[in-house]
Amino acid sequence: MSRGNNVNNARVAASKGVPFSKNPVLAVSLPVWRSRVVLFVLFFAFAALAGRAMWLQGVSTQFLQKQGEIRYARTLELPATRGKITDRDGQVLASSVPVKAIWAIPDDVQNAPVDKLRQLAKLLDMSNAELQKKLDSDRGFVYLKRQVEQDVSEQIMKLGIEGISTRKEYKRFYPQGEVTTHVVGFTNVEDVGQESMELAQQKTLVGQPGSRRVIKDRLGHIVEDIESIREPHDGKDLTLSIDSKIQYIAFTQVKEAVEKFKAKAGAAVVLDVHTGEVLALANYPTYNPNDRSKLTGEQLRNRVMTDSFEPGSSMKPFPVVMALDAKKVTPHTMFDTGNGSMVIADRVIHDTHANHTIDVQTIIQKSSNIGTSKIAMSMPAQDLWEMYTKLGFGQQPKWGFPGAAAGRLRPYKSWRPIEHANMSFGQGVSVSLIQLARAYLVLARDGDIIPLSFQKVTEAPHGTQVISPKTAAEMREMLEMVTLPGGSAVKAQVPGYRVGGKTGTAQKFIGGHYSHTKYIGNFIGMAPMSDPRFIIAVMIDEPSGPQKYGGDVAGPVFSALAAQALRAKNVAPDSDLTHIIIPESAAQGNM
Amino acid sequence: MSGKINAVLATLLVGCGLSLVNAQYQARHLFIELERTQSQARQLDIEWAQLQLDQSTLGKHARIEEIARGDLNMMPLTAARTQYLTPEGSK
Repeated sequence: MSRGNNVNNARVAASKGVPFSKNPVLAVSLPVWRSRVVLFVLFFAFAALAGRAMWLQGVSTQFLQKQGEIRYARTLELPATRGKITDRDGQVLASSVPVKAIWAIPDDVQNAPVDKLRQLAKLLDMSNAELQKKLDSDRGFVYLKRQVEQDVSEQIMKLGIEGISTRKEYKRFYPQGEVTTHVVGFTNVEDVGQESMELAQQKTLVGQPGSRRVIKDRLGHIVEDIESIREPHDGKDLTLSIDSKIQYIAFTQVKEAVEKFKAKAGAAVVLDVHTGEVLALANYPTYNPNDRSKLTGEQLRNRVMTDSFEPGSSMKPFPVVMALDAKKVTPHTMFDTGNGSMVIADRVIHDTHANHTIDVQTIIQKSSNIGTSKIAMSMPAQDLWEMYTKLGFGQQPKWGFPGAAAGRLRPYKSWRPIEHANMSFGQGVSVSLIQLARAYLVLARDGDIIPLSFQKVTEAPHGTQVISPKTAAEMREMLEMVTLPGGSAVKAQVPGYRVGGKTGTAQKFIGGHYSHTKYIGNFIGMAPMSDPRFIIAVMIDEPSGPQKYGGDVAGPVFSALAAQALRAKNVAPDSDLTHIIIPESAAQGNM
Repeated sequence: MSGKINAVLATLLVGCGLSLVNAQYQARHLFIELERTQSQARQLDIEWAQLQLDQSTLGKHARIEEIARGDLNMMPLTAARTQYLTPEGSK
């Protein structure tokens, strides 16, 4: 114990014996309020922190989460492709392929080195001046070129010019080009249908783009999906009724005929008798849908669908079937057509030859205007008007083809007697080629009319009876006679097959009267006669060579078209070869 | 007693945590794989469309005819050079 005291004593101040820590000098007495202040300051600081935390967590949490998401979440567009268009056998007629649109921010590009810009102009297939003109813009965004193919756009991006970017888009390709374009149509740069089926079926062809929200990492890789994906829906594929083989045959035949007869234009349409499907629809002049930079209205015109013309004699079967069906005449009723001219009111109608007294069959075979007028005028004008209306003349077609012409058929009450006669042989009434072809369907079938279709038909449509099956059969016999020796269209014969049809030649109606130099020659026929399968209608507009009549210009086209179409579709010949004269044009064998 | 329970629970917790990490890792991997395959599918789709287009372009009747006539010296068939056979026998 004493030893402990000794130690303590050694440390204390010698003078008073008080330990250092308890030295009163050091014991400064502080006022109480100072510690209170510190306490309050600390309290308020913590309260402020708590308040801030509550503010962030409770009130502005949504805003903050959103801000956060912007920094890692991305919305990706999932593009949808436009549906393909194929022919009836699945061959692609129109298909969309992804391409790039090249766009630029002009201000950024201006600083780029000159040689790079030159390379860019070369890749874009435009001159330097053109490129400069595009870049010399006040706008913040210009398209340099659209629909640039993938590999070219990759080369452009490799140049690494600042301010140049790409955007994904689609380009439509039409592999069959000018051959099918009047049926298929085309789309514009925005992938919106502009013509024909591309326009008519725009709603089903176009896709529904989708989107998805994802989290992306720093390198741009997708880490995970945030929300459920909105799936893109691709446009539906469209299967047309077109048979590309027959289409090609029709196109080459029309083209050849237009060139051979120095015509202004030509058109052909092939229908399937059983289903009413349009198997081919060809026009010439035509255009290439893949390159429309020099497109003219003349090329764009779809003469089968949108042009109406006065058909001439090819209307004759209809007043005749009307009379046959009403039992006013039989195929062998005799009519006196005289010496080739007949006066109705104050006008005269002519035949090409004097036919004297002939029966109804021969009236059709020889295409007698007088005979047809006499048959038609033996019945009221209303009957003829009703027959034409039932066949669809003067009616707006409803087969889903944009711009289809209705033709013109005036109400019968305003017909004068001469007009009644004229109407019976196809003057004063205008129709489109497809309307005419459809009316012939009635004759090729058992007298019923069916709607036409540009899309593949799976089940045969139900028709509306217009004439009796017997009348249709009688008319088919007459139509076959037209192509036999003595008929007006022997050039329409097809070796190996029985065919039938009717020619028509109409003077064009220009500036209020009929032209004597401008004609439209047409031929509407069917094959094979034993069991009609195709209706083939051909129209040649303004042939300027020595041959002008339908039988001469359109007949051979029908013949060649029918011969090849029948062979292409493996239709068995129904005629004995030895009994038929092989027409020169077919014997030459144009493919 | 309670010390033991704590130890067991702590081990379980750590185990769960690790398996969560592993599961997340696997999920990312699979997701990347899925992404890659899907983009491959899209690429193949495009390629398929392109090939269909090529088929149609190369199979154009105009091209076939040109080659048949020009390179192969073929001629279209005419009825005069055709012998038709009927099911009962040739005529």
